[in-house]
Amino acid sequence: MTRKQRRLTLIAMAGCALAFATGLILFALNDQIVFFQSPSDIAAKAPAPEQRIRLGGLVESGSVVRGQNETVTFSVTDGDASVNVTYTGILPDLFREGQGVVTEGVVNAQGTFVADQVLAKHDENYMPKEVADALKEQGHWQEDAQSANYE
Amino acid sequence: MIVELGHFMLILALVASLYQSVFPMWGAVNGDTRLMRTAAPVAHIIFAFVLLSFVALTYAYLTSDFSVLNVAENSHSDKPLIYKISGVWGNHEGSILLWVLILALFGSLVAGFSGKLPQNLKAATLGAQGWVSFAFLLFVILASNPFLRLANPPVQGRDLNPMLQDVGLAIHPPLLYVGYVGFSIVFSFAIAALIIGRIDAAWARWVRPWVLISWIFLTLGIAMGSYWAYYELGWGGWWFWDPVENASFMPWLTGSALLHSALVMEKRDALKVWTIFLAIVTFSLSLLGTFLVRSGVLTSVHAFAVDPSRGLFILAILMVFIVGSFVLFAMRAPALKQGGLFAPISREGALVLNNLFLTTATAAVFFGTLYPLLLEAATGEKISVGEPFFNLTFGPIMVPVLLLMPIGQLLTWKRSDLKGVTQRLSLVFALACVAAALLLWAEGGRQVFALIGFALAFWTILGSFWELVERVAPRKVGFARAWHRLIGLPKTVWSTALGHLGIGVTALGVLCVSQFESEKVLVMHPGETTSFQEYQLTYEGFEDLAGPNYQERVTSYSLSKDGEFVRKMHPSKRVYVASGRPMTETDIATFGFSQVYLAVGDPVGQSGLVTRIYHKPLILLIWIGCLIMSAGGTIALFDRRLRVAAPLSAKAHRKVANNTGDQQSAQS
Amino acid sequence: MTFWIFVALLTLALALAILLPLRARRLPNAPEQDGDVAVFKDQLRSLLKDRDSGAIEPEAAKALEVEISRRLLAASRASKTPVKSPAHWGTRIAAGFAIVALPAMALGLYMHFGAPGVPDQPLEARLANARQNVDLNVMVARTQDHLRQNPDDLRGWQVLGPILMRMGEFDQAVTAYGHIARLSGRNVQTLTNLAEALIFRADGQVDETAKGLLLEALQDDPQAIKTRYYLALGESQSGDPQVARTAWQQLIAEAPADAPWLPAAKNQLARLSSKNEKPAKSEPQTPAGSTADAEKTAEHSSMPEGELAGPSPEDMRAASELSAEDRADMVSGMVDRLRARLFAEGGSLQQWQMLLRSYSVTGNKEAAHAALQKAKEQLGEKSADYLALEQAAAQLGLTPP
Repeated sequence: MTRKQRRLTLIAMAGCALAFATGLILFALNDQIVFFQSPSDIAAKAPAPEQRIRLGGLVESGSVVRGQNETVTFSVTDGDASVNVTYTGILPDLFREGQGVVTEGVVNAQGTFVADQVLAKHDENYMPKEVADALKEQGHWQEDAQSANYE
Repeated sequence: MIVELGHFMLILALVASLYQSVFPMWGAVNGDTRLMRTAAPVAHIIFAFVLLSFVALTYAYLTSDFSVLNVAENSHSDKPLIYKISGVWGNHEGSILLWVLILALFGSLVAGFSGKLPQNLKAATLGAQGWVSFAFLLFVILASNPFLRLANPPVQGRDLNPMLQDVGLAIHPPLLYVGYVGFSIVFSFAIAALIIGRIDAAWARWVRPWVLISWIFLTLGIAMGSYWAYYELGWGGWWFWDPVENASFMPWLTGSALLHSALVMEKRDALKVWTIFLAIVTFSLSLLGTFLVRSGVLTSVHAFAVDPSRGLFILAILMVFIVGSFVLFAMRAPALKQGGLFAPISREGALVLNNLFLTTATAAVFFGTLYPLLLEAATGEKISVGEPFFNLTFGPIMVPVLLLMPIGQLLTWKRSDLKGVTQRLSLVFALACVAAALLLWAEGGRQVFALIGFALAFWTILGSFWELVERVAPRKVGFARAWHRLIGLPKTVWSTALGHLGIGVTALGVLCVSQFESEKVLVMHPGETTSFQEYQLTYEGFEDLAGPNYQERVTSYSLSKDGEFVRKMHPSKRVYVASGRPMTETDIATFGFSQVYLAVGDPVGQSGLVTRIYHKPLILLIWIGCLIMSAGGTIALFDRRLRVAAPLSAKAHRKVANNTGDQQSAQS
Repeated sequence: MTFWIFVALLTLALALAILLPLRARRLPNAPEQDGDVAVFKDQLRSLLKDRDSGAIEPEAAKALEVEISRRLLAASRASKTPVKSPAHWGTRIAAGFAIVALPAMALGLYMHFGAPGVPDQPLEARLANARQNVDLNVMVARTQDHLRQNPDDLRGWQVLGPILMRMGEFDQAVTAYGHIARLSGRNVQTLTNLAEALIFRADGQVDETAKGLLLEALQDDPQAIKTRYYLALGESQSGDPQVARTAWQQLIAEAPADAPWLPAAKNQLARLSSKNEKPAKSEPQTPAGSTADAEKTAEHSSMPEGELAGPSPEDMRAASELSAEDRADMVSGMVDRLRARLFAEGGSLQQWQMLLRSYSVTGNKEAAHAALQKAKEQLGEKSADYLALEQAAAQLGLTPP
């Protein structure tokens, strides 16, 4: 095989691998990504019943109800609208009323958000970026509260 | 005074690295031996300064010197000793100082252990390392200085995030950073080669130990981090495809590719340009990881407190290094002389394919990690790319890699016979299929995809040792002789076998967990028993205890297997006093390679407690595989011919085994 | 000074690390063995060894040998590139950089970012320091600063009041007790304390304001001994001696035999009786008066009603003459007394809080922990008071036991 042929073989192989990967990525992107929405977004336009979304906002104060079993319900709010969420499982350590939270799941027929994942951040000074942005849009963001510092 | 001296030494290290960035490189380009000779002592002294500076910061942590802002923000006098030490790198400033320390350490190691390196290559490498050191020391001093003082020190510090008060923090970041930063030396070697304009087989031989060290530590660091997240977070997951995890995984992928391409370069004098390219890409990805972790541009469980100015600073460093090195690459690479020829079906060919798939996989991970950023910048839409995406893209790309591994091991250099090799492996293939079918049957799985996956994992595991079996040929020569042969096998054969075995074992663990794991969440009351797979769990109650710096509610469960008592389990909930932060501690019972994982949640009603039980079959294989891989890497590192001092002494020659590659091409 | 010596030595070390290799006379031997050549020679050697040991077929070995030799030849041709002689000006610039620019930059940067002269402040040493020679004035000033911002911080005033009394800063003590009375209500304790501060400010004279306060206090608790003591004192000074005598007599009659203020009261009564005709005010009973008086009044500093019993005139006079260290000792003595009483007899939530706060101000953590432990026993672990105390402790940065 000449050097030129060898190079062509290599390029062809690389091309095949790349095409394969691109195909996979496009397929996965079509199917497997999750959109982030705020309670206002959901209030404005309810997502399709089976569509997975990420819902972010603050846990509404006084809304957390722990039932007699392992299911918890609470509301997530961005100040303008709020969405009821049910979740079965163990809530993260830093899940608190009035704190930022990101939940992932689907909206059921009754308009309740059924979450199968609840994320609160490891560091309580840390606000999930999406939540911070959503709150900023709604005008409920206070820079000062987030930058409590010495001095 | 100690703290202030630490600060001063850090600044001295900065100006020393400024010297290092300019003069030795200048010397290397102009052939000025005097200037080149200053590179090594300066590299040593930079390391000494940064080390002492790090010690000074540690001293401030140990003595709870809250006049140091960094200590006041991240420590507490009641914290146990080990967390006072590990707390030094449990925050942004301290961890970036650790980063710089390891950077300086590698500079010093290259200066000290590469006596036989041509002087200009050594000086240029240390010079390029000086650029990286200078950039990061500048970043430390200007934008994340851990030595800033408080005029009115508080009486008590704010304490370290409880999540980080764990041995995991003591081990994980240093391991990971040695891995990350080790690739900076490889990068510096690549830049030096481009600047000097000469790259040869010897270069690959000098670089390979550094690639190996970095790769070993990165492997261990990632594995350690994964196990830490597994037992600490209480979610039962071991890998989340979190941006920061991806950030460490991408350099690992390209680093693995680099490991193999450097081998081709050393043995066959081929793939030179590609190897240089990989060296640059790997370090660029390390830098990208550093940027992602510290800038807060992506949502991640690892994010440090967000500070946009820091993010911009690192972004600037990132751009300068990536753009700069690629411009240099574009200018100089075409001038590099092409090396040896090889047929597509040959060991080189297989390694090229391996590189191809590893880099494609990197590209997929890269895309998945950064796509949300790009999309948001372009359309304002916010999305999250999670596990399903990566499983669907990364998974399939890994299939050919696993498939090729045993075949590649048996192919000979230069040109080979694919048909012969596949025939030799037919027994392995049959065994792998049988093993997979048996496992699936025993565990009650039905899916075809699972069967293929398991067959692939077994194929990799069995295939990794087939080369050994063939070489030793116990049936032909008898066992006594076979043993003798086994011992005498070159280290490279062993390291390859172990490295590939590790991959197979990890893959098997991953598949088992994803196929057979089960989970149960329920509310338990004292005295209540629940059964779960073959286990029974009884909740007995709890008691409140006080730890050194936390209050703890320790629960007590008793775990039985098939009706027989195994052990008590005590998952707990802690509240750290200083910060008031809650924290869940899990308890894990190990059965062979499988684990039962228990986490508790909130109390329900009078006496109920939310309890989460996982059964994780063979999960330990994931991390054991990583350990095996690292062991393989370590053996390769101890191969005499790979030692940094390339030319061998006459005495060492007698010990050296066959030159595998040449021998094989001779046989073909 | 030591610091700057270290700075100089470190800078010197860096300069030497550059200068020594630059100045070395002997240049290293001609270029080292070329890398590639070494690798290929090595490959060739091991190939020949393999051939000799029979691991490789001779023909194959021959072919390989040819290939490696060809590469070896190419490599050694490539390596014979001429070596330039080094230019001296490069060395000179580097040396100049090491001697001038490096120290200048390092010092400049350090002076900008560093805090030269700021000592290490390990917590242990700071706490020990705070215990041994706390500068009371600084401490008080800082507390007052804080209270100026937060005038409603009751506990702050409660800590500050007694300390100000100790220091003889009666003017400010009056302000402090005034705030306490405002914030925690006008009851027997707060009013009596305020009156006490007023009396001390007036050199022991019970003026009308103080008297009014004491009378108001008495409405809250007609039996309050400390209140009655000061009222009796007031009567002795300016009122009806007969009324005063009755007051003293009553106090003495009701007092337990071991009441520490009893001798002082008896003394007052005796004086009233012996100098029957003379009005008491002609010989004012200033608490800071004669030694004998001081002795008497000193006793009352452990009067049972006191939250933190006020300072005795003896203490006060001493305080004005004492050094800062001794004053701190005095404060800690005061705190010790409160501790002794609370440990022995228990006390209210507020008293425990005050004790904890005093310890946190002086930085005596161990004592604070002990106190918290004791409070747990006294108040009961599950009591609301204890929980409130624990919370307060956490705010002070103290860990509950």
